[in-house]
Amino acid sequence: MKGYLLRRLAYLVPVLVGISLLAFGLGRLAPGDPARDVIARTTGHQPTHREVLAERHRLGLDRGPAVQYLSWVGHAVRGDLGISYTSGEPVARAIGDTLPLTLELAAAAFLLSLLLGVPLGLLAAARSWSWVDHAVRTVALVGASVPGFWVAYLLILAFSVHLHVFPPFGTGGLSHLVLPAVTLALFDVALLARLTRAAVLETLGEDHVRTARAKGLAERRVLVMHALRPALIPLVTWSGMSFGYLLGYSVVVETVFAWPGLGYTAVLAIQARDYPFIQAFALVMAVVFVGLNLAVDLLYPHIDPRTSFSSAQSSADEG
Amino acid sequence: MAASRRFRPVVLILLAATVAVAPSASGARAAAGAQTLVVASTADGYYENPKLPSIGKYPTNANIFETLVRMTPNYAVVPDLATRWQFIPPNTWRFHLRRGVRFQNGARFDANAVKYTMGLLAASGSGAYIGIDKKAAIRSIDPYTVDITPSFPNRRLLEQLVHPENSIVAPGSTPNHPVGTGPFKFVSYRRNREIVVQRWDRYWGPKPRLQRITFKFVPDANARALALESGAVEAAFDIPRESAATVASHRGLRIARSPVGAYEALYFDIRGASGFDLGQDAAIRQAVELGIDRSVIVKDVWRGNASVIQTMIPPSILGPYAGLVHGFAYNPGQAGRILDEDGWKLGGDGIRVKNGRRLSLTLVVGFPNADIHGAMPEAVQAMLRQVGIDLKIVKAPDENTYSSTLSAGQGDLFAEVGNQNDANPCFLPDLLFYFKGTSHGDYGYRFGPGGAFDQVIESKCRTGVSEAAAKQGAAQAMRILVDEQRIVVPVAGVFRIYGLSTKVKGFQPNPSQTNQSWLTVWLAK
Repeated sequence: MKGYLLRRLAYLVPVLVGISLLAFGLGRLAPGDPARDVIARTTGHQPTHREVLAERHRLGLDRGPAVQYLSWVGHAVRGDLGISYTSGEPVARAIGDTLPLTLELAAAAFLLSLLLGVPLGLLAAARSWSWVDHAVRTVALVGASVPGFWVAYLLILAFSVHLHVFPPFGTGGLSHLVLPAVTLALFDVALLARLTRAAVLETLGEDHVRTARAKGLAERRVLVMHALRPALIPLVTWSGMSFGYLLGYSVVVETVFAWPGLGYTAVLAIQARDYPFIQAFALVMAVVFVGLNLAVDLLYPHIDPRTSFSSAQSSADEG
Repeated sequence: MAASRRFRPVVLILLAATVAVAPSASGARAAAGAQTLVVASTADGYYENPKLPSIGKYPTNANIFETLVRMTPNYAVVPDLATRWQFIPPNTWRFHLRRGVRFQNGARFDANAVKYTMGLLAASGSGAYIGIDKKAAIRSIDPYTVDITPSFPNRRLLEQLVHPENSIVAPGSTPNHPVGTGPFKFVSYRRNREIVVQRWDRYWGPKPRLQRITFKFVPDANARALALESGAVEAAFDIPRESAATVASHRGLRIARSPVGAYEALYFDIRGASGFDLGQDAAIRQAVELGIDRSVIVKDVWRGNASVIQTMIPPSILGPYAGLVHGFAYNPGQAGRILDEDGWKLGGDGIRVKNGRRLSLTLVVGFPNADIHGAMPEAVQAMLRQVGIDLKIVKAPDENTYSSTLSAGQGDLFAEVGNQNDANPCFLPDLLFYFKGTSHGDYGYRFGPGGAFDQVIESKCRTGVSEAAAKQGAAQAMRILVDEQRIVVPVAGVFRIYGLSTKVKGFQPNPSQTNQSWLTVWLAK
């Protein structure tokens, strides 16, 4: 396992190099000039072309792309991710302040989606084609279809404006987390319920489930231990990816709920062509995604003893 | 029945959890004191400038700082930290400073503080625009008299100094601990969350009645309106115009509209290259003006929270000179006749054609963002089609893309919503339309007529000493842009909309949000 872990971590290096090149190149291909934005922010007026040129020189943007990239990499490996064009603060500090908030939000939404999505899917599979199944599938369809910002407004209207139960925006405690987490989780709950239903329905038709029922086991035990457990492999795979996507989808939720996380800050940075922040953001997200995938791979042998790290390695090599 | 019994504990647990995590808002507010105001502000736009403390200053003005002179809601310049001033030819402004003023750290406000602040403005580059750079001369005549000589002839300095960016900063003030002379002193700041200020008890002027103000940064406009309706805040900036009526109808809430301080306008690129060169045709520019029914846009797009204006400059700045700009009225028939005479004949699809070229214009929308313009582009598109002009709409995803498109000249018309944040009548025409010395990427190059317009800017705006001369110059400049050259199509003068709890008293809405004062505000029981 140790060797497997080291190999996977070694893969991270080319991934990060590739991501950094992509983030560096794509950021600069986007139309616009961060120098203009920095002047407008610091002076409160639209700059002249001459002022923009001077600011580009100050920011080092008038140097060749290769020089800029290597300079940034050189500083980044020493932990200096530069100064944000948007806020003027060190990028490392900005990410350190915002990433935990986004992780907190995504984790809460992830937990909610597991707690609601899996039981709902299981229930629908156990009562397939009954009204319960139809109800769950309808709710899932609606949950997957409605836009997140609209759900957010509805939740604020219901629970903040009318019921005064939860605060409408901001951070501060568990109460502030509820509405954004529910909004973010809704899409995932819907998908997880449908995925669980499909996976469990497939295993319910297999021989080992029929054998378990023939042995006279209680239906609940058959469902959970014999149908759900084999279905966990695709669920865990999807969940790993889902957590990463939750981080990405958090942008809309963070904006509406004024949740000052990494997603919201990244959108501001993209709009302002804040190259240092965009590049650092891409690297952080790459590390998070790779880390999640690694965690999922490490979970497989615990769910299904037939899988091992050597087989995981060979399948990874084939892939 | 059995199923409902099974679920009952789960429901009870969920209810208990809900109650446990729900905040006791009233309790928290009561503990903080009665005169505690929470404001839902727009997005956090503070820039952490190590050379010039700016947190609490711009764009969200937390009233920590003050300027030498300030601007009233009607754009008049009145004393603030300077009690009087005079212009000393050829290019010096002498300010007589207010005595007995203390910074919030206890230090005395005097000419040295003004010198210190001007030094920061010069070092940071923020003052270059108004001539406060390393070549500017700042001299203390005595502890309460200071002379400011900008680096270039700048007769508009007085009106420019009202901008909060030019606030007087206490020596030793840092970005993380801003110190000024304002009625409220800094307590805390958390990026993208809030800035908190509290009453400065040794304030030189009338004492503020509010004990504490918390500005919460809520970037989404609808969320700000909902926060106000929920009671989480007592005031909110920039309520969406489509929500204003709903907020006003909510019990315990009201809407405060400022005088016109912002504008929506279309600018013609008059130096566009091939493919975007129709703006060079004066007949087309005039036809577009006459083909747009601005009263419909004010009523339906801006939901009545705007007015039809003839200039981009807020009418209250121009005062009696506003009448110099005649503007235009909706007249699609005349627009059609002008195009006919210019050789643009109606084609089979209802769009005019001349020498095989269709009369098709590209409108670029994106400043400060495309959303703020609402359905204006589509409304203009439908109106211009009635006179045989095809309008292609390009909505830029962000301001940077818009600026880039403008610099590259990839449009015939550009739509902007802008603000007037200082008292300089010439601010907008000088900044956006002065042609001399501009490059391809500048506004002046794209939209500036040059010639007589530049002469007015130079002779009245830049060198005219009196405020009246500048107002007259600004009006003459706008007359050239709107009436004569028809480069600018003013669409609407826009009010700023503040949402308030009815408990909030003494609030005087400022058309420039960044100049909003909270000194007179208090909360009724």
